[in-house]
Amino acid sequence: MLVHSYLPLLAVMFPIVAIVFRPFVEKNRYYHYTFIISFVTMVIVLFMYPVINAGSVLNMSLDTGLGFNFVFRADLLGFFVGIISIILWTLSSLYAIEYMTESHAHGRYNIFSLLTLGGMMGVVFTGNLFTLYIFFELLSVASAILVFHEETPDAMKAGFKYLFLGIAGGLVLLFGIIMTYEITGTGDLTMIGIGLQGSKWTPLIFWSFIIGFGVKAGIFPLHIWLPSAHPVAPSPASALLSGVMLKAGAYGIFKTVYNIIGYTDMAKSHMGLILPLLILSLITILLGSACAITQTEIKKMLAYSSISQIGYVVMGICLLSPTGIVGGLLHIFAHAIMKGTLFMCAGAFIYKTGLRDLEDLKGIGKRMPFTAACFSICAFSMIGLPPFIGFISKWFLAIGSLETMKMGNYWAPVGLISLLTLLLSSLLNLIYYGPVVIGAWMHGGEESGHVSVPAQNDEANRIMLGPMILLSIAVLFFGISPRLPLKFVREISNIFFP
Amino acid sequence: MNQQSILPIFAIAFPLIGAVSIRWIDKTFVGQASRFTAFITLASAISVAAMYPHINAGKILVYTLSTGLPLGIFFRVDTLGFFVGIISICIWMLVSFYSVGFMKDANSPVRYNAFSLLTLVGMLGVVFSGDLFSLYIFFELLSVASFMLMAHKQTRVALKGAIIYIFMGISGGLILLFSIILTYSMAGTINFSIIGFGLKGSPFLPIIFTGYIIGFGVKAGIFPLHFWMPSAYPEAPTCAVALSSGVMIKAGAYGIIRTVYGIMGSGLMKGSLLTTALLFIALISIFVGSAAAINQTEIKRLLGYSSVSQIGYIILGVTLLSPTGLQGGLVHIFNHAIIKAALFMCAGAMIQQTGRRYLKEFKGIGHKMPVVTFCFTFAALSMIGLPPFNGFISKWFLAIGALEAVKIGSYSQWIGILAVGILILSSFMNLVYYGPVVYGAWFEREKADSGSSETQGSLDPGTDMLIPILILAMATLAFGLMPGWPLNIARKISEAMF
Repeated sequence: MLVHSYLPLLAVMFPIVAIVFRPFVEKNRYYHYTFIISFVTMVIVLFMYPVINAGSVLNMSLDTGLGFNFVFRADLLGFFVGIISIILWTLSSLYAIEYMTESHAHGRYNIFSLLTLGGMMGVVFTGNLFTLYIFFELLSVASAILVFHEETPDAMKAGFKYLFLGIAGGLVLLFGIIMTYEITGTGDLTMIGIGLQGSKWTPLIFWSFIIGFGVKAGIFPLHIWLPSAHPVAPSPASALLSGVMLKAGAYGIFKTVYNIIGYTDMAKSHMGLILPLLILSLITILLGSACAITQTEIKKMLAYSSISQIGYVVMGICLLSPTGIVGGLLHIFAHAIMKGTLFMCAGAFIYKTGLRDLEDLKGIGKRMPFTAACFSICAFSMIGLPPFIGFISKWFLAIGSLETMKMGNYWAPVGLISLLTLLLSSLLNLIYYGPVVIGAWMHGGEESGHVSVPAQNDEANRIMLGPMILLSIAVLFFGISPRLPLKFVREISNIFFP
Repeated sequence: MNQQSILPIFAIAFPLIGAVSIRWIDKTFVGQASRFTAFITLASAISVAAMYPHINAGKILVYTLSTGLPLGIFFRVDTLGFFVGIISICIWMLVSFYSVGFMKDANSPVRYNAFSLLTLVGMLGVVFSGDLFSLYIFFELLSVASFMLMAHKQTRVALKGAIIYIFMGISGGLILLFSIILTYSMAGTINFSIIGFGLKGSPFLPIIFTGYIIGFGVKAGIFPLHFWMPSAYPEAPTCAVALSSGVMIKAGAYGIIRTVYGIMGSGLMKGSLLTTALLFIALISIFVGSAAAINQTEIKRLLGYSSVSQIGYIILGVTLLSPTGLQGGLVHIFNHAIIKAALFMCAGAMIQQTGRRYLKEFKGIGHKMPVVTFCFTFAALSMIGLPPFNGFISKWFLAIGALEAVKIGSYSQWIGILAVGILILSSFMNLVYYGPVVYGAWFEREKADSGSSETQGSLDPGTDMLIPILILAMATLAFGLMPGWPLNIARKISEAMF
């Protein structure tokens, strides 16, 4: 049921319009301003909850005179991804207040940070492909400036790669969108199956969407920008790039599979499209983890780990089973909070000690106990150990892959292979997260049996520590009691598998 | 016969609350962390003991913690769970009281005790779990928390051993998870109240079974999965090794019992090639463990390999598929826990008091540390299986069980005879490696300081360490003379399984 509401429009436009008023803010209060704007946006998004919870869809349509309407719409899925994004965004902006003090170009960073937020909100709170495209491009371009921010040669190179691939992906997406409008006459994103049945162009359109969104999500072989772009960005931005923006791609892939094509149509006549995507997601999972093992720098390792984790989400989507969706969407939530925290912790290590090599970070637990504890919790969750949230999403993905086997859309062993990939990846996660965590706490001295790193206290201050601790508690809390996110994803899965 | 009871929660909550609050306790009452831990385990032991009247009346205690997890944490204490649980907590309590003295001068007492309590939570959770999902969660907690005990000394060697331990533990855990998910998906239930999950005829049966055996087998340390034991034990604190060898490996044995008699059901296992394979693995374990122990020069490694052999006895009893065999295996869980904990505690006292660790250096120790050596002798004699000690009782029932297995047609005659042969051979091999240690301790003198040893006086540790050792040493004799209680419970369990 569509309910007319300004809230989705407000959530999208508020951060963008807020940029206009930024010149009135004192120079040393820029980050506070961004934080407050993010916080207010979060409140706006939260106001949607009662209506969403009642099973309605918030909708707001603006006539542009172009023949296409701007449609701002918040359905359950959009709200789910949106609320995760904005909460992480708010916490990351809080963290940035301290982290960015010694940086440069504060004004630029904040403008583009808010623009990126607008883009992200726009992607999740839209009702048609046309509007989605506009904000998708905004997201790509604005976030590229965050990657450029440090202005080192590495950052410039990574930023250009990011920008080019992002825009090229966007153009491919645009091609798919134009084709869709041409064939179906609509780009509505909340319909299930928008009428591509029987068209000979469906495979082309499908792959355009997958390439377009896949670049953003970083699935193999479109991930090449990710390991260079995520580490060079300032840590609060890395947390958002990895924790939130990758999910815009995953969200798009979900919409492509379940809204634009639709489950029934997919299972009936397009298995040839979804199977390669599933295989790609499995390759992404293993490749990301395998590359992460060889990394020596903490943020690079985390970036490769993100590739692997986004593979989980895409795998959950491609499994074409209700539990698979539950697992995939839950992993969007889980990965956002875990990886957001991990990047913030890595940032705190770098900010306080200047060390970014894994080798040098041994014994960091003595110097920054709270940060290292947060890192350890999220690393355990990443490996998929109970009782952390990462275990819950992996559990559902695992059950989902066997459900796929039973549902019989795929050749039966596909489900089993997915399950094995999942477990193998857990093991690989252990191989690269394990030594970091163990090294942080248990750094062996030469022969003495005691720690050699001086136990000086370098702990990050409260502004940086607060978000990390809050998110780590969430990782533990939702691992023990995942009721709330589960309720959402179950409802979403019920929509697509009636 | 199910009875709602909060006792399992109490048993687990005490150590959990203890682990969380220990840092604060240590700050308030300086240096009392170990004593606090000991009393927490006492409280937990009382909670477990309080279950006995209910269990004895044939009731099954259940309690569900609904947390929003997919299946909830479900506690279900039946006779088997209670039996393994009460042994574990009693040994744990004695070792904790022993560690008050033993860990007096060790580094990071708070960390050691906190993780010892967490490990206890995992151990009790495993045996009190009512379904495989809860079991898995506690199983992983057991693996991860006990890593900190193994790595406690933080030397290079200790870390190396502990890393092998955690990698094998978590890999085993993942394989276990794989089997659990397959079981859940194929049989639709993972609840232990059902005997035989209905996997009969499933093409995945061999994979599932092998997965369980590998998962639990790593923890139990059965033959080719025992490598973590000799690498982790020598450098771990001896009280942690006593816990590992006396108690934690029983979690693996417990899991294998559940697999064979609960998940598969004795009917399904009878005559299956899988059971025969497991029987042979048990026999090889017994033989290889003993053979390797003969070659050891270091006391903790010797005891570690002896555990590999002894856990083989337990698995042998389980796989014999005869009531008496299972009874023997269960009683051996009980007896081995007492004996091996006593041996390690004695060895720990010797190592701590003399600073030595090699067998040849312990010659004549009986004159320096008469009480400890006396206890060691008792336990060693029991391990060899001499009457009237308790080790004899379990070996007797195992041998009878092997012959009974032939009689009821579980195995062919020559397998039964082979099993009895290996049992006798292993007893002899036990004599070969325990004999010289005991003989040397009493009747040989160390050449270097033969003159001075008389003047040094007794090196026996203080009463806080001696009392737990003495209690266990007396228990080896007491349960050898009056084996009624463990035998009766074991009989009840084994009758329920057939």
